[in-house]
Amino acid sequence: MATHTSPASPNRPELEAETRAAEGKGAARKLRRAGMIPATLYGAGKAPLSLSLNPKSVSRVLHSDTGHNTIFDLKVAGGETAAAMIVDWQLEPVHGALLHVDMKRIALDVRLRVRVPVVTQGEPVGVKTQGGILELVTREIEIECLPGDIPEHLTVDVSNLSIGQNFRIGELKLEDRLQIITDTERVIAHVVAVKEVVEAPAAAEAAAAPAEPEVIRKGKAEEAEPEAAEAKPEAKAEGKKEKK
Amino acid sequence: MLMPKKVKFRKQQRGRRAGKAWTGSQLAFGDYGLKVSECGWITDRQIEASRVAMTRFVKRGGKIWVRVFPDKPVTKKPAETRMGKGKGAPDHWVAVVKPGRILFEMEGVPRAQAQEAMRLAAHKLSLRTLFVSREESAGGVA
Repeated sequence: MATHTSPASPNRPELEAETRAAEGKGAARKLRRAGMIPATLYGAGKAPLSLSLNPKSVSRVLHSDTGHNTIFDLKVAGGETAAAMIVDWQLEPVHGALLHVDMKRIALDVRLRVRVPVVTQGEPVGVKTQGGILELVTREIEIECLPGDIPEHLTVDVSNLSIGQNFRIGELKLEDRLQIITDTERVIAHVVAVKEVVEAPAAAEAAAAPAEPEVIRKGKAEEAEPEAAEAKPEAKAEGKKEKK
Repeated sequence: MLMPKKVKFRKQQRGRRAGKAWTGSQLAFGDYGLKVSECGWITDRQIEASRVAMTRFVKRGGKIWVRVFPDKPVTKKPAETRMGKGKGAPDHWVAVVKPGRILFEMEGVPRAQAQEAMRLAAHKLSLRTLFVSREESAGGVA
């Protein structure tokens, strides 16, 4: 674990934050109404700090080429300036507005684990000539490296893949300074055949489908005759109809 | 039509839908998706109609994921029946959705094609929906 943070650098983007005294959901909602979002900064053996940030600046970082792995200088008003990166963020489910951000102080001389996005290169043979679909199964790979060595993305050449073939993490050729943490047997991308959808006539489909699912019964006595038990209510209902 | 294989109880009460869909609200499989912006029930027929509309439009290209499952039974009384005499018989199945829930995802097609397929699918539904894509949902602006 790092015990110190790195000083500010002119090459890194800057984010400004203010310390936040009020905590809890009421205060957080008030902050969001004022156009800011709550955030927290932790790591490097220092005490965690509750902050408030402008969501637009965070969004700019998340949409940058390096995405959430961007290392930036966090300037806390009237406090510390530390190299930090976004660890986690919460989005509003419907419109995707930022709700909260977790940031971590980064020591530039200590190796850290990050999730790097995967980008495919080329059009697979299976897609070009065999009519398959390239499916990206693993979109991010966890690696361990120094903060200065974090790649923007990992490129996977899929042009040789035909239908049924896949590309695994173990096949990636990375520089020595990057160590893969994710299971090397995991598939990154594969080419799958498109299933022919034979549309059955509606009448046949309706006949094939069971009317009602099986009801899970409790106890052995009832288990022995689930059909009889199920048939009962129907019979009862019919009886009632006849009465009318 | 989609329905559960086994159930614990044949009939359910209607229930209420409060809040937003905090789970199942982000794209998990494909690059594009259809998200609901209001709460309600989506019937098994609507899911099937949407799926068929999308599949027919994209033809042999693209892969589609259905992210909702109709696991709630809805009962109905027969026509011209007097009230009372107990709850009706199970009629169809619905998926309960809250605002933000992703219904369908798609991959392997260009954006314009996915958008049109999702538009056709949305016309089969009774709820308002939004088209979402992976590049836009990386980190929204408040």
